[in-house]
Amino acid sequence: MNKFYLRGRNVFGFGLDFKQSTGLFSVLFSLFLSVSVFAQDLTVSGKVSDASGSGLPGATVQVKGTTKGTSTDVDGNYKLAGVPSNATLVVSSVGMGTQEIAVGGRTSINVTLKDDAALLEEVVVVGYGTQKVKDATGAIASIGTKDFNKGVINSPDQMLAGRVAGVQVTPNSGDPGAGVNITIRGTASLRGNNTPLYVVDGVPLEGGNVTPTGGGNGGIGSVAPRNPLNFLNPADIENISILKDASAAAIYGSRGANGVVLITTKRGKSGAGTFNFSANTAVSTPAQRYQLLDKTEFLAQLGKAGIDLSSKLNNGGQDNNWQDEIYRTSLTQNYNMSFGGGTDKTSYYFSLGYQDQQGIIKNSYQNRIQGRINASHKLFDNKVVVGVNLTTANINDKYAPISGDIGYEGNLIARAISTNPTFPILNGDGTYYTTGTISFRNPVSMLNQLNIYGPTNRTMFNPYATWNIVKGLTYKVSFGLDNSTGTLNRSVDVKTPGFDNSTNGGKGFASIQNLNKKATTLEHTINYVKTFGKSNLDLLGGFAYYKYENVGSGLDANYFIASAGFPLLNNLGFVDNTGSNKAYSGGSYKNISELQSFFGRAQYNIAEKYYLTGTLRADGSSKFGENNKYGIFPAVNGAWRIAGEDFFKKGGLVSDLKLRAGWGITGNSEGFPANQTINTYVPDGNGGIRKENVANPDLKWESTVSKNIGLDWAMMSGRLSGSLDYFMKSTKDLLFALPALQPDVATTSWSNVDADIRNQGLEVLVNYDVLSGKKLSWDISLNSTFMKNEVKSLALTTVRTGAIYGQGLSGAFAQPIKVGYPLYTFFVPEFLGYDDKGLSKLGETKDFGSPFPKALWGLTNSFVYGNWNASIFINGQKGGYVLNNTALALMGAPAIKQGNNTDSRWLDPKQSFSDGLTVSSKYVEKSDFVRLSNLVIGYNFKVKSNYINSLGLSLTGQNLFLITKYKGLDPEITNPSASMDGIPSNGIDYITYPKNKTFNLGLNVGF
Amino acid sequence: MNNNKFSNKLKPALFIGAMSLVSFSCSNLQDVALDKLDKSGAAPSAQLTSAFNQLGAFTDQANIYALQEHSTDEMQGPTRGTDWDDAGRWRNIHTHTWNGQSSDVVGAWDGLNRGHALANEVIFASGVDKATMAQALFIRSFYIFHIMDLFGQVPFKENTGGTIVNKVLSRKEAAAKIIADLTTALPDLPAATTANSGRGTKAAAQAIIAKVQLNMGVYNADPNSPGTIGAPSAAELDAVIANCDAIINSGTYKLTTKYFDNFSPENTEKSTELIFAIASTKGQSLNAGSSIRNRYFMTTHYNQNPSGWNGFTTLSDFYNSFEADDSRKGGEVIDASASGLKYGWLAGVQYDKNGKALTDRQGNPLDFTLACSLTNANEREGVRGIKYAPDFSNPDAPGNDYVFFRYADVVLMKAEALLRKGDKAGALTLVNQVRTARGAKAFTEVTEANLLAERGREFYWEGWRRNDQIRFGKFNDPVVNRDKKSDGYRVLYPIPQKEIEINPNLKQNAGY
Repeated sequence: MNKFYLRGRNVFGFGLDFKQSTGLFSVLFSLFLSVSVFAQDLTVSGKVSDASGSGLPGATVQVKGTTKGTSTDVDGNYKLAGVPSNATLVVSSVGMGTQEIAVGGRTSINVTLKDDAALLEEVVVVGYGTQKVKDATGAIASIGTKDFNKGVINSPDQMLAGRVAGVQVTPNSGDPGAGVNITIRGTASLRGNNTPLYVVDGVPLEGGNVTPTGGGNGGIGSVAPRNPLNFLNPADIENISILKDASAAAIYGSRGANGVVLITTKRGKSGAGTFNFSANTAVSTPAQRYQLLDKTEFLAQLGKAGIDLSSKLNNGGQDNNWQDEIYRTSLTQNYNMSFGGGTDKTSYYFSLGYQDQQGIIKNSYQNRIQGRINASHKLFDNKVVVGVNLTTANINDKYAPISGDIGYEGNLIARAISTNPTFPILNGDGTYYTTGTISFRNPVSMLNQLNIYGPTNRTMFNPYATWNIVKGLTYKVSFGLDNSTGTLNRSVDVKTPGFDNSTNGGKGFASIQNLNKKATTLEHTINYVKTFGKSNLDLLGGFAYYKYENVGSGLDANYFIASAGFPLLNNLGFVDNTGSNKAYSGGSYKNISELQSFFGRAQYNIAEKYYLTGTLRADGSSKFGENNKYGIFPAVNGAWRIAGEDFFKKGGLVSDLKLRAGWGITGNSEGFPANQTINTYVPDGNGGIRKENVANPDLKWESTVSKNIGLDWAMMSGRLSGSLDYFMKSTKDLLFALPALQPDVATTSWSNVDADIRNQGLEVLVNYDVLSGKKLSWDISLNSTFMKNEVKSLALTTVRTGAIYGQGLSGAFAQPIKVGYPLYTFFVPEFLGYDDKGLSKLGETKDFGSPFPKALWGLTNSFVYGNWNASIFINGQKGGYVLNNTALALMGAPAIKQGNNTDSRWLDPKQSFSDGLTVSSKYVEKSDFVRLSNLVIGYNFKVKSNYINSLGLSLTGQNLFLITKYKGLDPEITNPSASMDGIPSNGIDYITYPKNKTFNLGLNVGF
Repeated sequence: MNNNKFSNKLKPALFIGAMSLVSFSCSNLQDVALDKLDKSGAAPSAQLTSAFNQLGAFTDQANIYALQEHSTDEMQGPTRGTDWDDAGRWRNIHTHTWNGQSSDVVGAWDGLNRGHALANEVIFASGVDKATMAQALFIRSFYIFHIMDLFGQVPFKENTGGTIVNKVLSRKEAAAKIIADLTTALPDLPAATTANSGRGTKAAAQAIIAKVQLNMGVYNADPNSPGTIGAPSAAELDAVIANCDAIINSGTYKLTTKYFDNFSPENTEKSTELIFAIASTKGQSLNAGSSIRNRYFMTTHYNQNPSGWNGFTTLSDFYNSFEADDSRKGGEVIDASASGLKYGWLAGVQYDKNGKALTDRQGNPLDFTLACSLTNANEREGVRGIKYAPDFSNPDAPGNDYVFFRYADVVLMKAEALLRKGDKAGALTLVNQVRTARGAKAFTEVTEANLLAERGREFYWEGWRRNDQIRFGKFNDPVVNRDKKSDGYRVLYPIPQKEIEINPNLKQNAGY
C-alpha cells in the first residue's frame, strides 16, 4: 500500500476535493448574493462531521480574525451568533484538519472535515523538509496510520511489513522485540549492512545495535540483538516516508544507499486539548509447530533402527510432548495514553505507553514503558519557532535460550525437537532428569536454569529552532542527543544438566555485558523558497555534524561455589577464585567516530509541469583514511507532468500522468568499524603486545549508483490510480574485510573491493476505490515488486557464506558468492536419492536458487460500512528458496539413530539410519507463501456524552494463516547470526523462534 | 511587545545565533584509537612475547595440526553418523583430496603467517637489543620453517634500508634463510637449561638447523615435481650431525625415564627432554584461541572423564606397530582418583575411576575397536590416544608444556644422518638408546623402514609424521582408509586460493 498515490489523486485535484468544491460553492454563492451585499450579523448554525458523515463533537468554530467562536455539541452541531455575513469561519477539530469557509450570507453551513492523514497526504516528508506530492520527483513512498500493520507491534518497521513496494521487512522471528531485517530495493552490501537509514523527526539515527549480544559463550551462547527501534512507541507515529531511490536519498549522501526511512511522530493540533486512551489485550500462540513423532511412533522408529529399548537411556517410560513444555499461549497487554492540543502559538503532545508482551516460549518476554513530549512555541511575532521532541523508553527483555552458538548440545528449541518423548522431566527427587550423558540437556531445565535478560534505556532529545528571516528564507538549527544503555545478563546455574561439560565442569557461568551509546547530532539548514511568475524555486543548504560514541564493558564469571542459592547474576562474587582458577574474565572498549557533511539541494519547476532537482552532499568520516576522507554524492532528477500539457486530453479515460526520472550516487559505511586507517596495538592476554591492525589510509566509501524511471497515472477521475517504477542499483567499491596480504598480523584487513552488485526491479502500485458511498465504501490497494539481484563482477572467487549449523557440520557452507549469480545463491550438491544401503547419493554441486524472491506482493482490502470498518491484508512472495538447516541438522533417520526425535515429514523409509549429514539440494526448499498477515475489524460507537468524544473497539488478527509448501516453520526467515568469514548469510533457517498467531482486542477512547 | 523594528529583527537573530553558536563545531575527523595503543606503546620485548604466544595456534586440533597429522598413517577423523562430518574437512585431509579453499589449509597458512608477521614487527623495529633480536629471528625461523615445510613457498617482507619489500621465498631460499638467520642469532641466544625451553636457546636453534638440513633432500626438490625427493648431501648430513652433537654434548638433556612425563601437566619439571615447547601455566589459556586441552578433548568419548568430543583415532596398522612392552603404547591409569583414563593408546572397553565399564550414549559398552570407518563410524569405533595427560583439576586450561622439539628427536635425527651416511652401527646404537629407554626390544639392524616406524612410535601425534613420511618417500603410499597412492604433488599443500588472488608474487604450487 502506498499512500503517495492516494495523495496524488487528491492533490491532482481530479477527485472530489473538498477545497475545490467548496471554492466553487462559495463562488456560486457570492454570485447569487452579489445583489445584496451589505455587512450584516447573522446567526450561523450547522453540523461539523467527518468524512463518514458522523458528527464531530468538540470541534471549534471560530470567526476568522476574532476571538468569537464556539464548539460543537456531542452530535457535531453548532450555533454561532453575531457572525458578519462576509466573515470567514475557521472550523477545526483535533486529529482533523482545519477548514476555512466564507459565510457568504448563509445561516446554515455544514462542514465536513478530513482527518489529518488525509490532509497529510497532500505533502510528503522528504529529507530536510516536506514536498507537495505533485512536485515529488523521486521514488518516495509514504504511509500513515491508516495503513500501518495493526495488533501487537514492537517497532515502527513492523508496521510497514508488506505494505510498501520495494521494501522487504522480515522479522527475524516471533521473539518479542527481536530484530527486523529490512531491505529497500534489494541487498547490495556483502558486509551485511543493508539496513536503511532511519531519521526520526529529522534526526538521523546511528544504525548500530543498542543491546549487547554476548561475552563469553559459557555454553549458553550469544543472543541476537534486539531491534534498536524498539524505543519508539508505534502509537506515537503519525507517518512514515520512505526514500527509495538515490535522487530522493542523496540528500543523506553517504548513508542513503540502503534507502532512508523518515519517521514523523504525532504533534498537538491547535484547539482544545484531547486526551486519548487505548487498551489492547492480545493472545498469541505459535503459528506453526514441528510435527514430531509421538511416543508410540518414536519407539517404533527406535526399534527399526536397532536401538535397545530395554535400556532406560532409550525408553524412559514417560510420555512427554516437549514442544508443549516450552511453548505457551501468551498474553500481551498494551496501554497508551496521549494528550495533545495547542493554540496558534503553541503545540504540545504528551504520550505514555506501556506494553507487556509474553513470548510464546515460556519465560521469555518483553515489557517496555515509553514516554514522549513533542512541543513547539512561536516567538517574536511568529518569526521564530522553538521546539523540542523528547522520547524516552525503558525496555526489559527476557530472552529464550535459543542461541545458534549455544554449543553442539543444542538450544532450547533444538532440544525440544530432539529430546526423546519417553524421558521424564523430573527425577523422583525433584531434580531435573538427565541421562547422565554429558551432552544431554533437559528442555525444562534449560527454561529454568538458563537465565538471559537485560534492560535497555534509550532517550532521544531533539531541541530545534527555526527563524523565518525574511519571506521565503528560513534558517533551522537542530540538535539531537540520542543516549542508550543496554545490559545483557546471562547465566547458567550450577549443576545444570548438559552444561557440566562446558567450562569448568558444572560450576556455573554468569556474564554481564554493558553497551552505552551516545549519538550527538547537529544540523544547520537554510531554506529559500521563491516563486517567479509560473516557476518555483526551492533552495536548501546545510551543514551537519554527527558524533557517535560507543562504550562497552563486560565481565564473565565462572567457578561459582555450589552453595550460591540465589541467581548467580545477583552476586558475581560467589566464586572460588583460588589457585589456578581464573574465575573472572572481562574487558571494555570505547570508540568514537565522527561524520561531517555539507549539502545542498535546488528544486525548480516551471508551471508545475517541468521539474528539475539537483542534490549534492559531501560527507567526511573519521573512519576513512587521509586520502579519501570526503566522499561526494550527487543526484539529479526531473519530472514531466504530461497531464499538465495542452495536448493532454482533459476528461478522457486517463485523468493524470506524470513521468519521473532520476540518477544519483549514495554511500554506505554502516557496520564498518572505526580505527581501520591506523596501526593499532593491543595486549594479547598472555603478557605480550601485538599489532592488531595494519593501517589502510586508502579506505573510502562504498557507493551505489542508482537510476529510477517512474510513471504515475490516474484514471476514471482518480478512482483508479497507480504507478510504475523501474530501478537499477549498482553497488561498487564494497567495503569488505579482504584477506590480508600475508605475512600479516591479521587474517583480514578492511579494503574496498572492486565489485559490482546489481539490483534491479519493477514496482507496481494500483489503488482502486471500488465503492465510495455514504454508507459503504471499499477500496483495494495492491503493491508488487519484481526484483533481480546479480553479482556482475567481484575481484575475488573465494568469498563465501551460508554457514551451516549443527553437530558434525562445522565448516560446511552453502553460499559461495559467484559472479553471474544472485548474492547468496545456494550452491550445494544435488541430492540423487539413496543408494542400496540407504545412504544419500550426492551429485554435482550446482546452483539451487537464491533466497531472494523474484516477486513480492501485498493486497489490502478496506471496507467501511456505517460504524463498522474492516481491513484485510494478505501478502506473499514467489521465486525464492530457503535452506532448511533445521531439518538437515536435526531431522530424519540419522536423528533416530542418535536416539533423537524428528519431524515425521523427514522420515523416509528409503534412508538408512546410518546415513550421515551432508548439505544437499534435499534441504533447499521453495520459500513461496501466501499469508493473511493482518485482519482488522473495528466498530466506532456513536457517542452521546459530554465527557467522551469517541469510543471504538477493534479486533485484530495477525498471521492468521500461511499457505506454503515449506517443511520448516515459516519460509519467511532471516538468520542474522549465521555468518562465515564475517559475511552474514541469508535464507538459512536454523531453529528460529516460531512466529506468532495473534488475536488482539483493542479499545480506544477519546475525551 | 517591543515595537522597535530593529530590535524585532535583532532579537530572533541574537536568539538563534546564540543557540547555534553554542553547538557549532567543525571537526578535522581524525581516526583516533581510544582503547588501543599506538606504536610507541608496543615495546619490542612485549611484541616478541606475542610472537611466541602465537605458537598456541599449533595446539588447535585443526589447521596446522590437522595438516600435519590427518594426512598420515597415524591419525584420521572419522565421520560418526551425524557427528564429525564437518563438510568432509578431516576426511579430505586423510584421503589427500584437499584443495586451496580447505579451511585447514587456509587456517594453517594464516596462523603461521601471523606468527611470522608478529616476529617481523620486532625485527623491523629500531633500537632492538641483541638478545631480543636473536629471539625474534629464532621464532620467525620457526614459523617460516613450518610455512616452507607445509606450503613450499614463503611470502616474505624484506627490510631494504627502511623500505619493506614484499617478495616470495622459494623452498630452497627459505631453507637457506632459516639457517642463515639462526646462525646469526646463535651467539646471542642463551645456552639451554631444562627450564628455558619456552624461548629460543642455542640448542633449540641447533635443533631447527638440524631438522632443515636433514630434510634438504625434500626442500631441494624441483618445485615442479616436489614429490620427487632427493637425498641430502654429505655436507648437509654433516651439518645435521654437528648440530645434534652440539646439543647432545652440551649435557643438558637426557631421555626422560618415564615416557609420558614428557607431556604431563608437570612436564616442565619432570621431562629432561624439552628443547623447545610452549611454556604453559595452569589456569592460563593460550593465544590463538587454543589450548593444550584439545589434545585430549579431540579424542576422548563424551562419557569419559574428561568428557571429550569423541573425534580422532589412530589407524589399526599404526596401533599394531607397537610391541606389547613398549612403554609408549601406554596402558597405565593416569589418576585413579579422578578417572579411569589411561596413558597412550585406548583400545577396547573403557572404565570409569571405580573400574566400572563405561557405555556410549545409547548404553552400549564403550569398546574402542581397531577397525574404524572413515565415512560412517559409530561412536565407539577407533583407537584413541592420550599423550598429554589431562590435569583433572583444570582440564580446560592445563599446565602441560606443548612440545615441539625433544631430545629424543635429536638422538634419532643424528641416527638417521649416520644411517644415510652409511654408518649403520652408529645409527643402531643411537636408535637402541631410545628403544631401550622406552622398554622396547633393541633392534639388531637399522633400516630406513624401521627407523621411520620407530620415529612414528616415538613421536606419534606430535606433529612430525608428515615431515618424516615425506623425507622417507612414504607420504603418498596407501594407508588404512586411503586405498590408493596419492599424487606426488600432495607432499605440498596448495597456497590458499584467497592468497593467490591478492598476492601476484605467489604462484600456485604444481599440481593444484
